[in-house]
Parts: sequence; C-alpha cells; structure tokens
Amino acid sequence: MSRRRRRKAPSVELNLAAMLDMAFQLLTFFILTFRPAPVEGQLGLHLPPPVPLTQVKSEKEPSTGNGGGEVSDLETLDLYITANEHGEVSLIKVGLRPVVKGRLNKTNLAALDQHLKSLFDIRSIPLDRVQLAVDDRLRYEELMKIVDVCTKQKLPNGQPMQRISFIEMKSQAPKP
Amino acid sequence: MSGNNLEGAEPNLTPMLDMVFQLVTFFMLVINFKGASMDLSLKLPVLGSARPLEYSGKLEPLLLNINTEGKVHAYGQVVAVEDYVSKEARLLKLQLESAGTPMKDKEFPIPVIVRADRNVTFKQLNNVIETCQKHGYRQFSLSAMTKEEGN
Repeated sequence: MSRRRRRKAPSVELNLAAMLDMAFQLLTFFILTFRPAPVEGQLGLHLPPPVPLTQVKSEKEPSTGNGGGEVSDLETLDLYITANEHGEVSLIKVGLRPVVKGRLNKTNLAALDQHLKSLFDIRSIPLDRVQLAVDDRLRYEELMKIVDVCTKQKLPNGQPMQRISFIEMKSQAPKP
Repeated sequence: MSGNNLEGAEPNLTPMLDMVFQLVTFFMLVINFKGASMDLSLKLPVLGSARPLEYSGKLEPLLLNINTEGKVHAYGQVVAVEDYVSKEARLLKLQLESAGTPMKDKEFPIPVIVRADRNVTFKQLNNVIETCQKHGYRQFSLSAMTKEEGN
C-alpha cells in the first residue's frame, strides 16, 4: 500500500473587500428603489352593460308591504344618485322613493343599507342586479361608498350582490 | 509611547459581509415589481371593507390608473384609453385562444383593476369602464385604501 502524504494546505485568505463593495452597491440599490406596497384592497364587481330603464313605470304601483312595492316584478333595482356642484351626494332615490337627502354620512349610509336590505329580503322578487344612474359630477370616493353598501346585500342564494351597472346622468345646471 | 505593532493588521470583514448579504436578501424578497404599474401619487378612496383581489389566473389583470384630470396611466405613461384597452383586449384574446381557454358569453375571464383618484368624477370613471365593457371586460376591481394613509 502506498503511503499517502499529507500536505499541509497553505493558508488562503480571500480578499473580501471587493465582495463587500459589490454587496454594498446592491444594498444601496435596493434601499433607494424600495417602496413599500400600499395597503390596498379591492371591491370586486361584475359590471355588465346597463339595461334600458323600462321599469320606472311599474315602480309607481302601490306598495305591497315591507316597503318594497316600488320594485315589484323587477330583477334590476334602480338607484338614482344626484350630486351637488362639489361632487357630493345630494339625493339618492331607490326607484322613485327618496331614501337619502343631503350628504352621505354614516346615518344616511345606514339608512340606505337598511332600505336595500329590506328590498333584497323579499324572496318573491328575484333581484339580481343593481343599476346605478349616477350624476356625472359625483366623485369616485362618494360612489365607492354607495357601491360598498350595494355589495353588502345578499342575493336569495346567499351570494353577495356583485352585479352592478352604471348609467351616466347629465348633471342639471343650478337654476338661476 | 507604546510600541504596538499595527502593521499588517486587517479587520475581519466576514461578519459585516454576512450582515450586508442578509440585508440584500431581505430587500430582494420584499421588492415590489408590481409597483411599476401603479401610479402611487393617486389618492385612493378609503373603504374599510375592501379586500385583497381574489384572482389566481395565469394572465395578468389589466391595470388602469385614473388621475384627477381623468387621464389614464399605465406603467407610468399616459395612454389613450380606447387604443390601449383595444390593444390589450386583442392581445388577451390571442393569449386565451392559444391557451385553449374559450371566452364565456364573449366575456374575458380577466379582471380590470381600476385605480382612480378619489376626486375623479363619475363621468371620467364611466368613460373608462364603458371602454373596457365595449371590448369584452366584465369583471372589475375598484381599488381603495383599507385605511387612511399615515394612520
């Protein structure tokens, strides 16, 4: 058997300065380009094109209890949203009935929610879509609050209401 | 004077290198490439009930930023909404065909993420939504902050 010679390995020292330089450059790049992702959420909607507003006539029919008579035999619930010159909500009508008058505060939002809930609770009316006729001056922030209330409603099958259509209403110039 | 011989003394750079590599790794992991498509100057509306987007498809959603002037930004550039959306829709249709995914009722199974400034008027927003609807998009995600910035 051959004898193995054990050589003592010469001590090798890496020059780490160059690697450190490169690592610092990388670090500087990442620090300078770092932007924390904003805390964003989404409101998922299914937005089919709007249907013609043909239900208005039947909304004049007398109420049949539970405050939901104005939308009898409809599958689409129509909301009319009017804005003031600052783009804030001034009036919301569900069908022909004014539900919210004035600015959109918590009380008004709760009133709208309650009203929509009472309509969606009527099982005999298969509502599956909300159609919003919106004043073209309305600000996005205000619109989102209304859309949020709409999406909180539950369909008869327990699914959240996500089918919403938009119609643009021309703003009416203030009377002199 | 003391006669300490400092010649040939070298600092041990290994711990520093370790730490720097750890920092580099951290920043590499948290880097947000999707941020390039977002216009972070927009002030989104605040909506506590907004939830993260539930979409797990392979194809990227169409992301549109709308500023207060109603101009649409995509990847940092102002784009003509009609041209941009029609081009994206054409491309998406080809991608779906090549992937063998048929369109249901001529609707794209890909959502449009709309990031609009809170002061955008409905007229400006509806213009974008109608353009997307015209080209077959039906699923929309309206972006909002879950809480006010700085809180």
